[in-house]
Amino acid sequence: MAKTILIVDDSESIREVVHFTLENAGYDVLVGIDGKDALKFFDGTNHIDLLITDLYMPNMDGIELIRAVRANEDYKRIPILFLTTESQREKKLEAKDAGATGWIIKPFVPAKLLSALNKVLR
Amino acid sequence: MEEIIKNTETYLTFRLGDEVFAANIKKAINIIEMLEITEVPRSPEYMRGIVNVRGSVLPVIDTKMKFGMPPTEITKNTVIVTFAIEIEGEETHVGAMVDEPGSVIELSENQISPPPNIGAKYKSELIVGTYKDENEQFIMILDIDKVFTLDELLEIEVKVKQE
Amino acid sequence: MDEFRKKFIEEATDLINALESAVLVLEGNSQNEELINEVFRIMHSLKGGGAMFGFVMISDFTHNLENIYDEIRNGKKKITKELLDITFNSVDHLRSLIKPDAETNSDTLQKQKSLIAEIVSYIGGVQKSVVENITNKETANSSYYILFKPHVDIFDNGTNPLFLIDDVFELGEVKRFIRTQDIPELGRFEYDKCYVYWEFILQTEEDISEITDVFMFVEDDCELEVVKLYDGELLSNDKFLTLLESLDNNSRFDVEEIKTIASDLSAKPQERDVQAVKNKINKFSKESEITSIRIATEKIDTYMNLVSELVTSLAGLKLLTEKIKDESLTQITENIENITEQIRDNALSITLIPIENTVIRFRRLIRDLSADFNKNIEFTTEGTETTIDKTLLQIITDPLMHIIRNSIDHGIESVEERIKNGKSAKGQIKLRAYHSGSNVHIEVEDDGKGLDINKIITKAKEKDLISKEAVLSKEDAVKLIFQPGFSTADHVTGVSGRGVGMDVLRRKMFDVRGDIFVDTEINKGTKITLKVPLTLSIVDGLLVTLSNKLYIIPLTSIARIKELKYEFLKNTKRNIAEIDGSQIPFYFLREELDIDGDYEDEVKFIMVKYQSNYVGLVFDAIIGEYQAVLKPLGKLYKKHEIISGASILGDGTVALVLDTNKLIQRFSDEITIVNN
Repeated sequence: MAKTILIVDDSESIREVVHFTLENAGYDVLVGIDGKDALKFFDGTNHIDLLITDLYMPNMDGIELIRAVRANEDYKRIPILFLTTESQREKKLEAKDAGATGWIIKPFVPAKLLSALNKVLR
Repeated sequence: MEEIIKNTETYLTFRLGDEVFAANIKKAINIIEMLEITEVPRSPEYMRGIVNVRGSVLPVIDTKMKFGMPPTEITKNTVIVTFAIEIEGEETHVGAMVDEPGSVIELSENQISPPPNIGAKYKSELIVGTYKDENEQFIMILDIDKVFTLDELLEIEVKVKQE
Repeated sequence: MDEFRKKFIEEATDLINALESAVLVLEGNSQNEELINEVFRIMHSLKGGGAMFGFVMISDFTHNLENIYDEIRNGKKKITKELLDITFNSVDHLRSLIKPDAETNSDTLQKQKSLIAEIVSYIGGVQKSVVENITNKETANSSYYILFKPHVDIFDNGTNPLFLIDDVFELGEVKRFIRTQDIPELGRFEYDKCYVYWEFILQTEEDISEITDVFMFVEDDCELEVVKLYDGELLSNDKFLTLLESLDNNSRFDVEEIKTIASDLSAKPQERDVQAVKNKINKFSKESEITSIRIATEKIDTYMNLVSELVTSLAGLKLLTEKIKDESLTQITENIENITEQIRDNALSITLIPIENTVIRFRRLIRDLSADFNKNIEFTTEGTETTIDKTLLQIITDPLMHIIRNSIDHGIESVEERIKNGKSAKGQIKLRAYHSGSNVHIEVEDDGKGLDINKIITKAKEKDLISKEAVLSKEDAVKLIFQPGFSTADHVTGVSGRGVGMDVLRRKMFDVRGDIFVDTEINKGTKITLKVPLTLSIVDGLLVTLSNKLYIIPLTSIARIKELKYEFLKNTKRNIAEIDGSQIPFYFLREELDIDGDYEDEVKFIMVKYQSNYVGLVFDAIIGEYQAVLKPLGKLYKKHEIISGASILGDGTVALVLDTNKLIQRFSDEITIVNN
């Protein structure tokens, strides 16, 4: 069965390129435009294998989203990757402390994105 | 040949058919009994083949044929004299079949006569000189390098006869 | 991707508009955290998307602005009128950056420069990294040492250390050392435990925190050590690598030692401490185990001869063992055979040396001659680590030198001529070496004018090498250059063109059971390939007989062996037999080699490779495979090409080693003469 990945980013173009890449690679894709929007998928009815989220978003940012997911009994064990640019070291540490599994550095090419997924989806 | 003491040199004599030849002993490595010869196809007839001398390969030449005589018939007297000769500046060993080894003789310069110029069967550059021993045996002293490096040892007429 | 780019431009337009209105509000409300965060986020989105979709100018530019607003967000800086002006200017500039001509429009490029300069001066050196990024875009590589030793139970929390290692490789150039000495013996080995650890020398332009970040998520589950060794590249430094290898004893490095080496190397090697480095190397090579010694070549020759004798004696022992049929003797003989084989291989490997040793001389030659001939030549090599028997290397050095001279003199055109012909000014000569079966091939290829076939034919006719009416294929014409006394040089130069060479060269190759090939194309270049056997002294062969005389055919030249009826072969027309649907020309070796006796009813038909075909050779019987120690027949037989040597068997008999190529060449030449 295809794995389901939730991608959350306020940038439509980024969402679309990730969406496109993942769908082509055979994943089922759910999309959220920011943290608050993404929370609706964590209602216990959706099966989610992986969350990929941007960190800087309006309404609810990535760190808060990660904390919320980790606090949710149904989803606390899913791997979470966040998108970040270059060396945002403090942000990375913050995300790690919030419970992230790893990160993907922007810009990325599809192959790099997929190899990052392979590291956490097994 | 620079080490001449009292102008004498030592020679090894050997018999080929009815004729006796001598070669400077410095050129001779050893004398070995006849060994089984492995023929090398498509080589001149006088090159009888190769023998195994203690793990090394030695080419063997029918010296009589080289001198235009009938092929050597191997008897219990037949031996191979190994000579160190120089080919294109490199020393190489050659086994010379002879009907019978003779003796080692010491000759001073004045005992040796110059090679005959006229009516000689062999090319003049082959012969360093001649000598008559106490039994009046006529011995031809050979330049052994030339014997094995010249394609043709005989004067032309004889060669035609041979073919 | 274009579709996504379009999407990004739309999105960026919206973001820039949002930025503009946010800044407008911010002007009257400079403490509004919400707004500051939004401006920051917009910069961040533009930066990420710009990088993502190839708008490098956008990502570069917003990177700088983002930094300012990050400072403000963290309360380290306050919003001023000046900053707001810069930001408004930036909004306008960002609008021009999403236009299609942004990367080429000189106004836009100019604006990018001046605005970034303004931003930098606004930050005023506080944000050092930004300044560095602008003034020194090509950040230099530094070298690091990394120890990554996962705890044995690291697999428990789902981490696969190999992925982290991939990440290290993504950071830059890496030399990796895998340490396995902690792996327990099989009985105590647990499959879900990690017993391996890694050490790396990493050369990267990232800073140290990027490296530690790779391991951020496993830092509690591993031992991690990241040490900066040197502000520069170490992995491209051969001396460093040599020293590093001398320190490597398959267990954990002493980082201090590596650091010492690195700092020694970094101490301006050109001027100050060349000697110190040298001393260090010497010291190391002395202190560490001596890995190589020099041996007089005569000793090696003696060793090789003794090994040959050993192989020969072993053959005798094997014969005896077969006769006696005693089990324990058989055992011992097998052991000795084993050991002998190893000694033989070892001895062979000692006499093999890389051709690199010779290539150095060519480099010099080419440099000197290029100047003499006013030619601009680049010499490249490939596979110079290929090894070859030292005697053979000596033999082929002069031929190679000759070929390279020819390339420089006749092959590569003058700079003017090359440019006129639309070629790069710099001519190329490439030397490539590789092993192929039991042979070594060495190619010398140039991109010069190639051999002029018509000129060769005309010349050959002038010199009466071929008849005036002869029509030649390209292949045949090329072969003419190997004729004695052939030269196409218009005028004799001091280097080549004296008409000696290629013929001598071919003879030299034949002397060592080698060959030479020419591949040429007019105006494209010439490739000359030398093929030489790996070694002169030992041949793996098949022992066959004719009238009980023994011959050896090298296994490398044998394609197939068939048992056939003599009648069948005798009744074929013109000595061509149909074997499994193919027409195979063949020779009765007994007749060709003039050997007494007759074939029996059953004969052995040995198919050997000849050029691109197969040719059959008819023998009486096959004894078996045999490892022949090749003894030269000596100078007296030097014209005797068809026999490459002799081998003495265990019982003292002598077998002749046939060179099937030359044998067939000879036979076919004779037939051609007969037909004419």
